[in-house]
Amino acid sequence: MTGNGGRVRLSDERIYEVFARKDRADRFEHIGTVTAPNPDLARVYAWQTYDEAKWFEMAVAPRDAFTAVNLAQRPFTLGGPPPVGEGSHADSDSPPGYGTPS
Amino acid sequence: MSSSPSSTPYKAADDVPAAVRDALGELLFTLADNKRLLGIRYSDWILGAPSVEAGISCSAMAQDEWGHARIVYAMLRDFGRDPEALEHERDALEYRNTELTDRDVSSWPEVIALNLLLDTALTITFEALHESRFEPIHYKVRKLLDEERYHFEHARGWTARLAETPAGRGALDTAFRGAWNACLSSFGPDDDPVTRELANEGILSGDAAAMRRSWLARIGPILEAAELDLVRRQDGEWDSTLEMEWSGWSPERRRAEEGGPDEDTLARVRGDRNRSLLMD
Repeated sequence: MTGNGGRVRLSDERIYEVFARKDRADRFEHIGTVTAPNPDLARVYAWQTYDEAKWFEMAVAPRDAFTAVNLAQRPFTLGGPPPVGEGSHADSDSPPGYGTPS
Repeated sequence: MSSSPSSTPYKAADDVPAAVRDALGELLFTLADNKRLLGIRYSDWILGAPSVEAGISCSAMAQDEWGHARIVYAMLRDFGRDPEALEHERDALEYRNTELTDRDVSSWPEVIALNLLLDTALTITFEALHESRFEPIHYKVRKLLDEERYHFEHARGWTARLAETPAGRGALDTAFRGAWNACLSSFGPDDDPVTRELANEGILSGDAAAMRRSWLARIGPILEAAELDLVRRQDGEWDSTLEMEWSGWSPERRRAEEGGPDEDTLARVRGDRNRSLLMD
């Protein structure tokens, strides 16, 4: 599990969507994703990865906690939910946060 | 932890009585070296961590540790030490970092041992300075502790993650046992005069024994949840299941007497490759 440059998706990891806002008056923005095995690490990864701003507030939620309302696919994907075990940014060339278009 | 005998704050290092100032200088020197060397060890894993995210965390933690070290080295000027010389001109045997960071570690569980056990030991010591009678340190410690929250959560998250499988738990157990005594002893012995003096003066909120208890109380629940047999709870107090070993401990260096950062580590920590760029 080590020594391969980090491009590995460990089993039972989940994709977490990351939201943040710079000011109390701002709305939350969807700023990206992290892949993590538990909420503790998702929080740390999000805070340390998306450190480009001095955020007032940041929150993460597992991607699979979101339910589609008007479209067939889940939110935060470009072409529908990725096949099981694939489609995270850790093993595709897609921009972080988006599954491989089908 | 004991309360301070006096509430008169010290506004500057010069206000602190000489003997106490020396003790505080010793402690800060040790903390700075431990931070800097821990930063090196985190940086070793930026590209080799088990996931991209974990590598980014190592990078962030390395930067934090180097920042903390830089702040503390700079403070040492007020304690009669030259920060430039401390940062760039010392030999291995003049370093105070724990022996755990003398050389690179060979596995991710060992990184997590440094992350959970050593980083938390340093944090516990800084927490004991949080409301110090030595006021100039307050703001610096607050900022540092703010950043350390994430180091602790990283360590907690990875300990839980690795402990999910028998193989992972076994690797953690080996790594944690290897780091255990050095971390337990990093606070100093129970009768350590340096921390005792600082606690008596209200500079530290507790002496070595008190800080060690705080450390055990902080990591105890995590180790228990991970089913690692290193701690036990008796009458509400966490204790180590392993006896502490003090042979080879140097009160002067506040670490193992033997050794120091290896050649590669020393070159990196001193910035030897950029020596020609150092300005007067």
